[in-house]
Amino acid sequence: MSERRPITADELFGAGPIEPGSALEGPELVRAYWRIKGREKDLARQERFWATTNHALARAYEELEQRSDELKRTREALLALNVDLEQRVAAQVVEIVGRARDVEALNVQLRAQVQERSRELAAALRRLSHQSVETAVGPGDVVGGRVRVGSVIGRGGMGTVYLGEDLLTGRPVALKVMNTEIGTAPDVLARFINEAAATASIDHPGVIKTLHVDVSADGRLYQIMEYVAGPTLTRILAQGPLGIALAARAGAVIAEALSAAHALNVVHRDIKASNLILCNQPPGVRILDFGLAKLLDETLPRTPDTITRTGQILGTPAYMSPEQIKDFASITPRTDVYSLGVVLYEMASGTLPFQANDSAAYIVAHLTHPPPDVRALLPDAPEAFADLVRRCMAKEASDRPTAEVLARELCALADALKAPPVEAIVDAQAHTAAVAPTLVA
Amino acid sequence: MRHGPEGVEILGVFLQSFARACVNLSILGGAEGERLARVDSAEWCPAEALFAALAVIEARFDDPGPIKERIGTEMMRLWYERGPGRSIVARGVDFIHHQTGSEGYHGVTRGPSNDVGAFTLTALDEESGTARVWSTTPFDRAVERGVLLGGLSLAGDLVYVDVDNGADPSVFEIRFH
Repeated sequence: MSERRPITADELFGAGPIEPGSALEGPELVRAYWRIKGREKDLARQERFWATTNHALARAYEELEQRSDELKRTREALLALNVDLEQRVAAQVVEIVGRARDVEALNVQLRAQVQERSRELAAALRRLSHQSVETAVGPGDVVGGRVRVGSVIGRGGMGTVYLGEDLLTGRPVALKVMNTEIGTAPDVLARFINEAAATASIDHPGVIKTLHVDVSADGRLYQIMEYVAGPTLTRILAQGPLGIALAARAGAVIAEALSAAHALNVVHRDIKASNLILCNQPPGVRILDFGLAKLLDETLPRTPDTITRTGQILGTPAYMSPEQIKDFASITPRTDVYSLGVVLYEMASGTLPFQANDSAAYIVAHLTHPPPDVRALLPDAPEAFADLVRRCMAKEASDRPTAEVLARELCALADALKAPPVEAIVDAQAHTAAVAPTLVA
Repeated sequence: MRHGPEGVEILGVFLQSFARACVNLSILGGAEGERLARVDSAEWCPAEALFAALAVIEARFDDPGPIKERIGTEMMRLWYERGPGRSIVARGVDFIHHQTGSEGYHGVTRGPSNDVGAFTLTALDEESGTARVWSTTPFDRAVERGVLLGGLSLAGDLVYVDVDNGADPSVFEIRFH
């Protein structure tokens, strides 16, 4: 038996080899025992530490797994939501595009309808413009659903005037059915109607009221006016001049009526003897055809031939003011005053201030010749009357008196001359023929 | 919410040791540990910081006992390897005397005596390798167990160290060889 070699506990647990036969004895054995026990304790403590740590790690991992799953589900839900939103947006875009197409199709239809209606209206207006002078209106016809047509009481280049019955009031009216030389464009008709409305608002007994202006269902332009029984001044003067006093009295009434119209910015543009109706009711003289001349001015082209061909359409040459001849766009209320000055001369003397054989001669006279002194024909005419006539016929509109001033001065002159009322003219002349309102001299 | 008695303060080096041990063991994150350790080692600070950190650790583990014990042991390892441990203690038994004396626990803790408590050596038999320490401190018993384990075993002269406070958490029965 080999001899046992004692070793220490350190040698036992050291890195060196243990020789066969080595033995732990005594204290070293105890020491080794306790060292092993100590290692056991350490290992046990470490095992508990790592077990706790691993458990905590496992739990943390589980929580991470759970959160990861939650995040994954949330992400999937968001993706699904995005897909849904994209689909909805796409569907809405398709719907909007579809509606836009529908709207565009409707617009195309509407444009086509508007164009078709415009063509229909233009055709109707063309038919209207090519209507014959003889309007297809006869006794018994109802125009505009308002006036029953009676007998013809006048004809002219503009149209035919009928005596009619206003079915609304039962009163007699004058119905003027226009010829188609009048402008037929919708805007022109609108202006004509607006002018008629303005004229209708003139509140003066010296103005024959326009009761209604419209286009009938069959395309006829018509004007309903007061019916005034009485001769025109033209017809009265055919019997002889009125003289200074009555001329002043009548002129005052006319000027006063013009003043009322001018206050509403309405200019007659065609004051002449044939547009003045005398009657035996106050105020004794009525102005006819307010607003019509303006329509004519705006609708027909101004050419030299126009004046000479018709002689009346743009104004009556014998009574036209210089500005009407040169630039009708510069017409003002003083234009009417000029024409009234011509009428005053004519009423007083029985003749026109300028004598001419044609329109051109009249034009030259109005533009270049000084107004003649009425006292050349009437030596006893008061200076005031002659001066008034001269001032009314001033070449420059600004040199003429206003209608209001003219009315005042004529009235004062008439009173000074103790002129009778105007209605006495008709009584004196014993003319009782029905009015023949015309649109031409 | 307070986790410990108000008025108890610990020396900065104590809190640093605890924080560093937690970081080394990956019990606390680097940022958390650095925040705890960002204290002047020579200054006194409220012990609440340590108590609060322990409360966080306890909430993270279902069985925090082994973790806290390991923290205490790691604190002693740092004390021996990086601190003055080797210069103060030559034998494991000397650690018991040091820790229960005026230089140990009472050297790093202060405050009202009732709150500070004590770490008292109530029995010691070097020949049989037994000792008993009675703790009345406000600190965690598992950590203190780890401190005792580390303090005795890491001195280097003992091959067996066991600290048991299973019968009474405040009474540490120590066996050593």
